[in-house]
Amino acid sequence: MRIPGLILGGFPHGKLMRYRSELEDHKIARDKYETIVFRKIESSVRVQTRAGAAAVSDPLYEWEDMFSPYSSGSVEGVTRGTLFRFFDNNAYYRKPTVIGSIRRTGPVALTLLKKVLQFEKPGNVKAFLPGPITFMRLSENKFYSDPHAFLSDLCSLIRQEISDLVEAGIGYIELCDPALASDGFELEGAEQLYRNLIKGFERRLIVSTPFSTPSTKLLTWLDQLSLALYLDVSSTTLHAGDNVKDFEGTLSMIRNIVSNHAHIIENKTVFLGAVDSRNTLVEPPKLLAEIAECLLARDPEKLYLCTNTTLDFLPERVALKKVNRVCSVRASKSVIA
Amino acid sequence: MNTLPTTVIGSYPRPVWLREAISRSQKGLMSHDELGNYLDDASMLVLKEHEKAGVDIVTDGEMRRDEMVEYFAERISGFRFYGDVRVWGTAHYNKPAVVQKVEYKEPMLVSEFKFMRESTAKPVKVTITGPYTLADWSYNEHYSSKDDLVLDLARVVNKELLNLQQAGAEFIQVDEPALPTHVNEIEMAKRGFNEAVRGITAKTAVHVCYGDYSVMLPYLNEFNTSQFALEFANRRFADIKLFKNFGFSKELGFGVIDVHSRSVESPEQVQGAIELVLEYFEPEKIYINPDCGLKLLPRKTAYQKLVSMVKGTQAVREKLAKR
Repeated sequence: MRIPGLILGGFPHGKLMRYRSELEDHKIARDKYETIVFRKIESSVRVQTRAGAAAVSDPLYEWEDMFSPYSSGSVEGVTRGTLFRFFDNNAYYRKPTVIGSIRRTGPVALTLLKKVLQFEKPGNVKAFLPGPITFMRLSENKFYSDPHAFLSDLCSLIRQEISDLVEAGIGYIELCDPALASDGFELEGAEQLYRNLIKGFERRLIVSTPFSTPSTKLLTWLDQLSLALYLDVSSTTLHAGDNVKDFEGTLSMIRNIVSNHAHIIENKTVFLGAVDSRNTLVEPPKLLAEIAECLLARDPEKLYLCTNTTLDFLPERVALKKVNRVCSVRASKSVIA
Repeated sequence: MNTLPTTVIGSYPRPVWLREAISRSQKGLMSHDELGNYLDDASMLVLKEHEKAGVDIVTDGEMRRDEMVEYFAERISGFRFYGDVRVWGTAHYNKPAVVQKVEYKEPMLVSEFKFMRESTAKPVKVTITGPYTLADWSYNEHYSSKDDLVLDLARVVNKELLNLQQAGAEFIQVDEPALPTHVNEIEMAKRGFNEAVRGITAKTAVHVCYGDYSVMLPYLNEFNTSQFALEFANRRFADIKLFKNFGFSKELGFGVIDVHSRSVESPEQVQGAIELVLEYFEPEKIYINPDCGLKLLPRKTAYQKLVSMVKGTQAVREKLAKR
């Protein structure tokens, strides 16, 4: 039985970077650039459908970073600030700078998703949103004196975004919130706001927290909120530089992680980030199958095999191999999804 | 040397004619030797442009290097390339993958340094990417531990530094922008750096930018270097006080020019920034530089920014002289 595969985050921008530079330097016209983007989106949809992905992920070609659509005029009170490193990656983002009360002037993510929807049915599409905790922690707040009010307004903004996407029939919504797993963050404080944020939408949401070891505390928290579980089992192993090519070692480490959380995994939907978007080494099918088997032995309700984060950290040709790999893993045990 | 010596971090915009020549060379329409002439001319032009702006310690703008990791990975054995990866906006690089043990092949910067040395009477600075950044900004498909990779790269960098020193280099900047990236690897990065500068008596600096400085501060005094050249303008000069609080004892290369903004700072803005840092550190401990390499800017803008940097610094020197 083939395990459903899914791409978290977006795709490498590839040659779009060059065209974007040419647009900024007024070397190509806006309509020509838009046509190029449109064709590139079409191509990314075809790649995913051909690979047999469980859903087609928005490649996020029009997102400069995970906050840029929200700091470029579509949301009052937020502007683009200074350049800063994005977690532990050699990738950077413009800090959203909060200078007033946060208020959305219209749908943001859904508007950017419209090109994807010309090629795929909404129910088969995965949209992407920044998580509120990460948005708050990676912003520069110059307006709110009360952090709770700041987070509350961000949650309202994101909930409006989720509502629009659900109303449009989008099947999967990734809420990327790596700061939830950051050291020193107290999950308890955010619980009620998060509960209000996701209420009624739990079954469509994937709260991804890449770049960190899955923790019991976070998985329990996600479970208590009736959210699917997400496990990044790549950032702790291959990316850390340990166990490169030591597949037995990798497998052993992942078995430990799964074993430690067996009681949480049972009967839950699990998004397993076992394909590393931060290393060019393409995982062997046998390794992925064994990782999946190890998870399936804990009787999840559904299992999706995923990239651990956006493919934008990889060269395009490696990323395409990983798309095919994540969608082609077979396990001996029947998989319900 | 002046008080508050001005310098650059390294890269500078390539002239349009050089970019065209590189493009023709890549298409096989220009010989390697002919391209070499263009690279020499561009290096000379940048040295003179730095001199004209009044910069005290100049570079050739890294005209011969496409990118700070790519350039070295192409010249160290053990790497391969799969294609471009986005870093920010439209900025990208051909991120290498380590697929075998990394080893030194031959001098990478010595001829570049000699050309600089022969082309200007001003003090010159040589820049080289540090072992930790080379490791962190590459994919690892070979080493069983990052520590081993960093140490092997440190030995490679060390050989190059020794060659540069033998050739007469007096000031070498090791670029380690990845330093604050992984909180639990700063000790590893420090070990790598100290291995890379083993036997080096020339003056060295470490360049870092765009990260959380608070995580690396406790380690900085243990780096065997005399200076840290850092980005500050982008972060609107936040964090200076942190350095004082941590008892930072090295020279500080103070970034006063935002290299990701096309708006040219005024000399008065530069002066204000320097006066701010002088509230915390003695002038003898301060060098003045842009935040990072200037190569992503239009050349005219980059030049104007250097002129402002020099004028702003000069205004501070005059005030200090009157004290």
